[in-house]
Amino acid sequence: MSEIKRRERDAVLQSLQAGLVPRLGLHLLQVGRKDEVAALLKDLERIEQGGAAFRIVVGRFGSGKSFFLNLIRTLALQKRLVVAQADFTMERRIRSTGGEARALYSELMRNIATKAKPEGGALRNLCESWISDVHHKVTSAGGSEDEVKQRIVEDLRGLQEHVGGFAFAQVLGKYYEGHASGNEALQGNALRWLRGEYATKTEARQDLGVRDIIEDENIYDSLKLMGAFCAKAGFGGLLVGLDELVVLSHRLPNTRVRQANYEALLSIINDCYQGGAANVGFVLAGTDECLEDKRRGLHSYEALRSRLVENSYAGEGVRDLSGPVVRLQNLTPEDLFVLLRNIRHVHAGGDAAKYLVPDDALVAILQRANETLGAEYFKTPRDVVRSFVGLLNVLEQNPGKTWQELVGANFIKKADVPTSVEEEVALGIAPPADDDAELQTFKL
Amino acid sequence: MATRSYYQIAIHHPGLNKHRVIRGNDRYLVEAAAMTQQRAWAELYTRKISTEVRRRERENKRQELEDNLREADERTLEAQAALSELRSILAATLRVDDRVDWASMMQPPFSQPKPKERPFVPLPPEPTFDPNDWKHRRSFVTALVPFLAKRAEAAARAEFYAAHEKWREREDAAKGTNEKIYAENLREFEDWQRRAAAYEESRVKHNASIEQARTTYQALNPDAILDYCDLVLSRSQYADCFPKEFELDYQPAAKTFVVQYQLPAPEDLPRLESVKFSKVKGDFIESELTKREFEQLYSDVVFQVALRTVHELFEADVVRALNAVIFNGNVTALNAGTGHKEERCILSVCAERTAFDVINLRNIEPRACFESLGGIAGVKMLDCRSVKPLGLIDRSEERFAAAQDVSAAAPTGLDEWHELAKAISDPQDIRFLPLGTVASLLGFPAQEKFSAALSRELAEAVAARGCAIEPDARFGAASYRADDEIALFRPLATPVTPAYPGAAALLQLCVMIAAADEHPTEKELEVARDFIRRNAALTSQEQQRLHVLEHYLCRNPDTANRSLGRLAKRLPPAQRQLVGEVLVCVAGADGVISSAEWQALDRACKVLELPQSALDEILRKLGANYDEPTVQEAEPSATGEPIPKAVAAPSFRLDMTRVAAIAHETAEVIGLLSAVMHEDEPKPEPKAAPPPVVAVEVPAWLGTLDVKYHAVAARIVARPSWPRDEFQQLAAEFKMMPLGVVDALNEWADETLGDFLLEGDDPVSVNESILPKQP
Repeated sequence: MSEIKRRERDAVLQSLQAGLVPRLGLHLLQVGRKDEVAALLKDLERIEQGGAAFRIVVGRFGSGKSFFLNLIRTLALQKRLVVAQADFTMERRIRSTGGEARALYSELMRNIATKAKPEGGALRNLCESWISDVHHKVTSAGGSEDEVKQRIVEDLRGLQEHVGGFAFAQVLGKYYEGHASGNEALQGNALRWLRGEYATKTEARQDLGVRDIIEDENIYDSLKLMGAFCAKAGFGGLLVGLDELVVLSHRLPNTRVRQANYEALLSIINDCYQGGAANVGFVLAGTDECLEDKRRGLHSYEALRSRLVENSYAGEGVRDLSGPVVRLQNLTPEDLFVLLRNIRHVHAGGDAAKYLVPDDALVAILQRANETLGAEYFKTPRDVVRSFVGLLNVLEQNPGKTWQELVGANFIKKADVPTSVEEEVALGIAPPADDDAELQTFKL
Repeated sequence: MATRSYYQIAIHHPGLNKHRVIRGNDRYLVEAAAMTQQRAWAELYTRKISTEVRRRERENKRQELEDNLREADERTLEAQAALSELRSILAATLRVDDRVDWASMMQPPFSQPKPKERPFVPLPPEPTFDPNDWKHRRSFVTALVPFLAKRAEAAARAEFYAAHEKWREREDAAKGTNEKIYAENLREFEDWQRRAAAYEESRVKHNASIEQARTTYQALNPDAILDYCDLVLSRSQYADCFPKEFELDYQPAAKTFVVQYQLPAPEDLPRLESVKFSKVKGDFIESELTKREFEQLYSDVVFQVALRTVHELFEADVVRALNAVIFNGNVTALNAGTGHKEERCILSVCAERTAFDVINLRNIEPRACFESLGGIAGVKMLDCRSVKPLGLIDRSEERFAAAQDVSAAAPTGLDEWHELAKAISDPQDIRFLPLGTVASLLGFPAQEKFSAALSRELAEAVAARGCAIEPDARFGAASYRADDEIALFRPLATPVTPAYPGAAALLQLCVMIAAADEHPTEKELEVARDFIRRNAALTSQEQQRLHVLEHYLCRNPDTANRSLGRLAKRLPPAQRQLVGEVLVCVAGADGVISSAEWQALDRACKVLELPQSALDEILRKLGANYDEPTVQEAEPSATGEPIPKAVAAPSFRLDMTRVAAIAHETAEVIGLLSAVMHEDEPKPEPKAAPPPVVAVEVPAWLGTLDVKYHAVAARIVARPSWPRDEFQQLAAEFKMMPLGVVDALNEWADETLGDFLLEGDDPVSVNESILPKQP
């Protein structure tokens, strides 16, 4: 194995110890999932070639959906796609009237990442690298700043067929204007507009002279526009990753709001599969419940169900990854063992001579996990991994200690409280009752 | 009997002018009915008003449309009138007697009448006293009483004295007024006398000078002739767009008059042809003359001005002082090379009176007439290409003393050309001449190589004089060189169609192949002719041209080689195979493809960028049979080992029936070549802006980085870190934006060096650990 980059190593270990999925270096940890990765890679190629993709990654709590999502993100960055990722929350939904949809868009834009800035926050870089290219071309040919602005608008003329394309070009022109005149406030306003942080058109008009803003109603159109811009800027397109789909299904207290969000998802699916979108892809991640729950899940919306239903011939041992749903298989104990080996390798910076624990220690840890977490410990490896990284850190900082001393009875602790909505749902904690739920039958 | 209450309400709508009384026994119903009725009326009235508003709007729009249409018509008429005026510059002067009427120039005697005298005010009559008058007023008592009689007489006398006093005052006033009138009359008369005297004085001088001018003009004084001609040309009326400036010179010895006339530049002439109002767009749409029409207009204008000026001078020349007029038409035009405006002579003619007088100017075509007088001008007047003036104004002080016979110095080139043209009056005649000779005869500047545009212009100039050349640069031939030979002939009067360039090109290719071994054989030429004849319907002139071109190519087979590369470049790759097949058919016309022909075909295939195997494939397709290799028999020879002769490449035979079949299949070749030949000349690609000169040595390990980032990357890695401001300045120095540089370098470094090169925002740090070690 080649040497591991320092920043990737640090990012991986820090995230794992915090119980989070790292955003960098996922390829160093990946175990299995060959078919799923291949299917998603095809999607990425389709996006690169001007197509669109829509996938819902489904798996039980702890099965590695977020990990998989981040792995796809890494692959997309490697293929020079721009990635925007966010989690659904109560305040960030795909369809709303109270600014929640715009908040989701803002979050996506804040987290936008490119290959050169994989940690996110690359919106400024994305705009600037394209504008810089235009600026370089025009000014090297003796053009003036006005000509650069004109060229920006001309080059983006193709985007004007998208909703908000004209305003988008104007805003990028303003960004350049801010750069040319040293007006950072103007640049900031332009970025603010691009991030969808303008709440009123009046404010946007005053600051930037544009009459349109990104609103709740047009975030999907704005994402398509951003995808087109990414393609224009020399990237393969835009991949939108949305995690915690379970929030939409099991935490939205209002049926109508939930249905509205499902309706928005349906229109995205239709658009992506019917060729209405280009250079953009969506990958959502959710649990089995949020897909299959007939009362609250995506299947509760019949139109969505008919599109998401899996191939009836697929089943045990037979998989069909051509549909929009990618169902992640649970990890096996062997998978977990390999995962721990990979983590050890990363911790050693890719140098086998620096391994802090032998394979025996890994076996011992898995045994301890079996004892502590139960027979299905390997299906939710988060706790095991967290503990293992902690063990490696302690051993690194205390060379006098041995792993046998540390892998004791309390080596792995199960979290007392659920750490995510998915876990809550998995644990059977009842979701809040719908505000508008029909009256239950009851007896006096 | 129970009383029954009725309710009624009267409602009125002034707009609709309606009135109604609603009655009923229920008050609320009545009120409701009234309200309903009023609402109905209100709605009705609103509808009526809106209908009326719409009607008025429609009316206004219609009115506006009519106004706009009328305005468009008026502007069209104005534009047409302006163009018509320009097109009839020559005709306008034919209706005018251009001779100067000396008598009309004489000033008449002072003609203002004497001022009228203002009449005097009459004096009032003096009152007189009638002694008997008082008796008329005496009464009976007064008559009887003397005292009363005296008093009455005294009153009468007092009354008289008062009246007399008033009369005296009025008389004095009248006399005063009369004195003023007298003085005024006198002053006006004196003024008139003074004016008359002054006018008479100037009139005498003016008439004397006119008389003097006439006398001197009639005495053929050169200055007087100049003044006279100046007067003639000044009185000539042109449209406003003409500069109306000219310089004159007279050379009495040769009786030649030189006019250097300032012609309007192309941009000075109006181009507007018509104005239409578009109902759809709601705007006026101006139609201008097409480029061709405008070129024709400008050409007409400048040649008409030349002819008109010559005509006016000859017509006004009553004393026969002018035997010839040299007209040099100058234009102030932009020199694209220097970027400055400069004056250049674009046409020049030396018109002899004897030749000019016999021309019927009412029936001529301006350019043809101009050229028949030996005038020289560029082919396209819009280009304002300068020509050498046939005579210049002598600006030396002793110009009259050293007068030069301009007519004797008339260009001999044109005369020679006319002689040459006369010699090839028959369409069968072909003259092969060096191109440089033809160019110099037509007044083209001497140069070794002619540009493509100039070559076409030269061909155009020859055509304008009723002749033609082959190869013709206008129909796909290569640019000329001065030492090239060309074929000059008199073309038939049929048009040249777009099919011709293709046929000519194919003929060139065929002759090139046919001429590869030795002289093209008649069989080979016949195959080429047959191809062309079968596949293109050519006019008689085109056939004549091909005949001339064939002769020319047989004389100069090398010229076809020059066109090959150019043709090949413009042929679509898909069609090159087809051209190759035709060439093979020509080469094998005599049934044998010799080694020289083989080499020529091989070369043609290379130029056509056909694959190595293409020639073999074509031959296989044509059913070629290779001969068995022949072994050279040993010849008895003297001692020593002779060097064997070079063995020719194996020749092979073709199945000529297949060749014929292929010939039928290649009907599209002509069209294909024609299409290629009609493509525009490839435009030179704009030169890329030179990269910024940066005195930084670029390390070799940056080789895979985009070139435009080389210099900036080299500068960046020279320091371990950059404060944000300095980094921005550095990026600006290389005409880039800072984050654009960071992203580009990091992306490259991640792939090439294994990690990001730049980290941090302020300062921007260089990850030196990944940089290759310096040797």
